[in-house]
Amino acid sequence: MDPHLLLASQALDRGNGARALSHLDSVTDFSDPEVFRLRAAALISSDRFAEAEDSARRGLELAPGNRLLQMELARSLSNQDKNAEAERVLITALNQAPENLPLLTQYAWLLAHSGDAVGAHAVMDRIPGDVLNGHPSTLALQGYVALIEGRQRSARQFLNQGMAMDPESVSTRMLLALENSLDDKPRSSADNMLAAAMLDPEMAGEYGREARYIQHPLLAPARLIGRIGPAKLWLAFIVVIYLGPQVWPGIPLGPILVAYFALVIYSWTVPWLLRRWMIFRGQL
Amino acid sequence: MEQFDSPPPPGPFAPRLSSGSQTAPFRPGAYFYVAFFGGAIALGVVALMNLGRLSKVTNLPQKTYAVLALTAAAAVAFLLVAPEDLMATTRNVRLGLRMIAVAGSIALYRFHKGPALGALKSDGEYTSMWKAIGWIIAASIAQGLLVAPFVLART
Repeated sequence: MDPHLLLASQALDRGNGARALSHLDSVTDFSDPEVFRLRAAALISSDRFAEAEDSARRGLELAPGNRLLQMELARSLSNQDKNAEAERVLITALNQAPENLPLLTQYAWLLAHSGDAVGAHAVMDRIPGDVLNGHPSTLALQGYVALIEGRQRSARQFLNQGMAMDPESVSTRMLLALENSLDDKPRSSADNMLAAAMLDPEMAGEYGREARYIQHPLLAPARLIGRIGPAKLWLAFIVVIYLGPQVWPGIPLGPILVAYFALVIYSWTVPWLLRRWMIFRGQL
Repeated sequence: MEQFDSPPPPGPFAPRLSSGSQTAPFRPGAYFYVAFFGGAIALGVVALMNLGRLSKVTNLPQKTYAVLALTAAAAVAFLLVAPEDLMATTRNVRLGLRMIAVAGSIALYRFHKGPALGALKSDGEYTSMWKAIGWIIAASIAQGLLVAPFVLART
């Protein structure tokens, strides 16, 4: 095996796509499909998805039916939001190898990311239970499917199980952050994102910036509404407006009314404006 | 909406995803404001518009229809059986209907928040509820027209 391929493979294992690409630049023999697979994987890791697609297709011209190349092609397509095309690639591969676990797992993730929880469940049913419950990545898959089905408690259980198995799993950390954000727990969400940023140097910038946005001081009033819940806050407001004057005749209803509506309008507009401002300033 | 909650048949794999670009869902948290300002009919319109944009989850349409039916039934029951002194002022009628619509929005939020998260596109942005403002205003006018005869008959 070309030593440059070995070095590229090791760099990819460490999650360093840029380093893998620099090793691949020194490769001179392009008859080995592995060159194109590693290049596709490295390009995906560097967010260069169209080039990754091209590399995977060139590899498949050399080795039609190569499962690993088909998987990289599907990954590059789904990262370009070409989910239907990615599905066709995976289905072609799966109909030749219906019990291939990496293919089944990737197809289940694709369906889940496309919002088809029913389809993802059906694919997961084809994966043996010991595999499904024995790996952090498949626990993360189950956690994500449970999350989009609205089964937050189950999602938390799967993700915590995955975290216990592999405390350094970036994807599980990010899913926990997502679960926290759905539950209006911005601090836990930001903590998990920052932990993910520390574990994944390539994504550190992105996760760190998102965590900074979540914790921005200007969002404190909006976080207050999130923590209490808009419905509970409104019910409290109604109770104060209708019962307040009977219990406390001198209650200042005007300022309460103004404060409530100011808070509501603030929570509608400021998060949206702040996100755009931070994007404009290159901070997000 | 095709294949909304039917699993694929066993055997060879068949495509499930369509290639057409889909619109991101509305934020289910905004149902509360729609219910508060627009009323139960506006809530129903927005929830049904959002249903086709959410993740495909077993029984989600049925749960949505059930919540909307219960909300509508509670609103009609309120208009028919609320005590006369409560119906004496339109402020009380508006408040009662708002409470019912907000209760419906809380139930829908619980059912829709996960599926909405799963249906977000790669930019992670929800569709702004302002894009449905025309429908919300039309629905709230329709609700006013429907409620008026009840109020006039009982005051």
